[in-house]
Amino acid sequence: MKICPHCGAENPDDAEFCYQCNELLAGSGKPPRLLSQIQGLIPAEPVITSGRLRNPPLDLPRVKLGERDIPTATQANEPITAPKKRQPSKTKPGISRHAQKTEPRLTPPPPRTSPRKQLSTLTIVAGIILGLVLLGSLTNLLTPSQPFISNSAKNAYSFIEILPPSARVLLSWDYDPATQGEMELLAQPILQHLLRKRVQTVSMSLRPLGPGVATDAYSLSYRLGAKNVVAAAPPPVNFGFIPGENVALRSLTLSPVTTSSRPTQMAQATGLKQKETINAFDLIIEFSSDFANSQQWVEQVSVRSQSPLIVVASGAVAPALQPYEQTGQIRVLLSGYPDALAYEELLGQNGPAHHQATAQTLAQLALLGIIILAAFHSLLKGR
Amino acid sequence: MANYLGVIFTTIITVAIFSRVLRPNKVFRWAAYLLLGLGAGYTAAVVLKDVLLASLVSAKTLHITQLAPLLAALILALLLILRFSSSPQTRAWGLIPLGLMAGAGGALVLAGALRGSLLPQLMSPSHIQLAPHSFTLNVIGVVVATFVTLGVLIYLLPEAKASKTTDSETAWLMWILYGWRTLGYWALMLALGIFLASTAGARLTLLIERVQYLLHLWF
Repeated sequence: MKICPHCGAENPDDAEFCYQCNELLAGSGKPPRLLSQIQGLIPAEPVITSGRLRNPPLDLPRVKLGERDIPTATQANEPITAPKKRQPSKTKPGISRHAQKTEPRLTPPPPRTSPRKQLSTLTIVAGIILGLVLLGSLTNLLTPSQPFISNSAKNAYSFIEILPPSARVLLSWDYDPATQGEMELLAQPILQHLLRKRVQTVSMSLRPLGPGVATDAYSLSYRLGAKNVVAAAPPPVNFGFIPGENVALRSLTLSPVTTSSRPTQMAQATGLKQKETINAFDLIIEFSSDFANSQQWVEQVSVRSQSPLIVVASGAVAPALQPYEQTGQIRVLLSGYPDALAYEELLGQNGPAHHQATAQTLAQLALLGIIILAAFHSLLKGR
Repeated sequence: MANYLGVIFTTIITVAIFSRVLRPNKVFRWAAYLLLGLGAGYTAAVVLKDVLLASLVSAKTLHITQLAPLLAALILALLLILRFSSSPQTRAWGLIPLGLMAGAGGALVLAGALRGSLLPQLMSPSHIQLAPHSFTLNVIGVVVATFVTLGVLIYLLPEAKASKTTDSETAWLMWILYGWRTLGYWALMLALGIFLASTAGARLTLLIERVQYLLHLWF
């Protein structure tokens, strides 16, 4: 039985928080799950905010929070003075030195939001967003009349539009089913465009699950595409999963055919010869939800190839890839929902991105509102 | 019937994964383990079919000279199996393929990083063009970018080292450093904020796709 040091209520032995007052119970061996996750996000050292030292002096009293010691908020905000010379501690009679060190501190812990309150806030936020998404999905009220078309979408469209019918395009499918919902929005209009241009597409993947998502994307494009367009397009060739990442890409630049596990079949299907390099492709398009894969393409292929590289990336990794677009190593970087919508618009297609317009608008507005409210809350709280 | 069951199963799995928003629970854990297991199993099947078996099948049609790399790979793979041996002498043979993989891969990554990332990024300030026809503005852009980058570096330096020299004569220098450092801090926070916002936007798209998929299945 654990006695709460704050309200005196009795709690079971395995309780980490008091059932009465929600405070952390002293002597909880491991931090509760939520706290341990939050602690991973908190820097080990308190971040300096007002010209005080980032590394607190050694003699700051510390609060025991789970398995990690952190200085209390009020103490950390006190002006820093030179570390005081440690006074020889007076050992209390009958208590060992170690026991005195681990003695519970006398000052109460700083006020903080209990995990239950945090959870309820999180649930409310999730509920608002989910409600708006449902509302937007059920009532497709907002149809974008003229969505903003970025230069990236225009450039990517131009690159594909000028391809001759005999062109070969290499597609690398480097995302997993976990991000398929976002990536397929971007991949689908591009595949539609390639089908219309009747160019030969050769697929490959640096990830084992890549061939599967490629098949899904082709199926969706065939289903949405006009029957005559689909019938006239040359059958796609799939190299499948190519293991080895950097090494595989280096090998691919030298000879795409021999890099494949089935070189003879690949040579027959694509018409490529074994001595032909990656320059045999007129365009390379990389679909990626991972920064590392796109970086590998830039570092191993883009520097050695004359074929332009278009990267179609998840919105989450796009900011990290923009420096490569600035230097011209990535010729065009397409990312996120806005580019998917813009590309559909350029194609004159009313596809999946258009169907998400209302839900996207409402959810993005909710997100913006939550960010603004959180910022105001932090400012008012002085954090 | 199978289609109907599939719809129900898909819905249960999706709802189970989303239930993590409320709190970690057993249903979420069950669904996550199921998905991880399926992913691992699928990956193993793809590697076996598309890489190992495909290489062996295609080896039949290869010329004897083309077989050399395949044979070398096979020998290295067999040597790697020796890592499971209990004898230290036998286990040491397994270091050969590991060393080769680490050495060749490392050299390739290093060369690629230098040629593909570091050098182009170092040269990139010369490409910054705030205004294509104004040399002065472009120079200002490069100077500001460099200034902010240095601010971030100063912020990331341990402050304890900088504060060692604090005295009345050098106080003004410390104030400049402090201001520069604050600028770096805000630049870093802005960059992290942009990353967070773009990630949140991407995840919202995934959520919308899932919700619309479920709605499409049921209605």
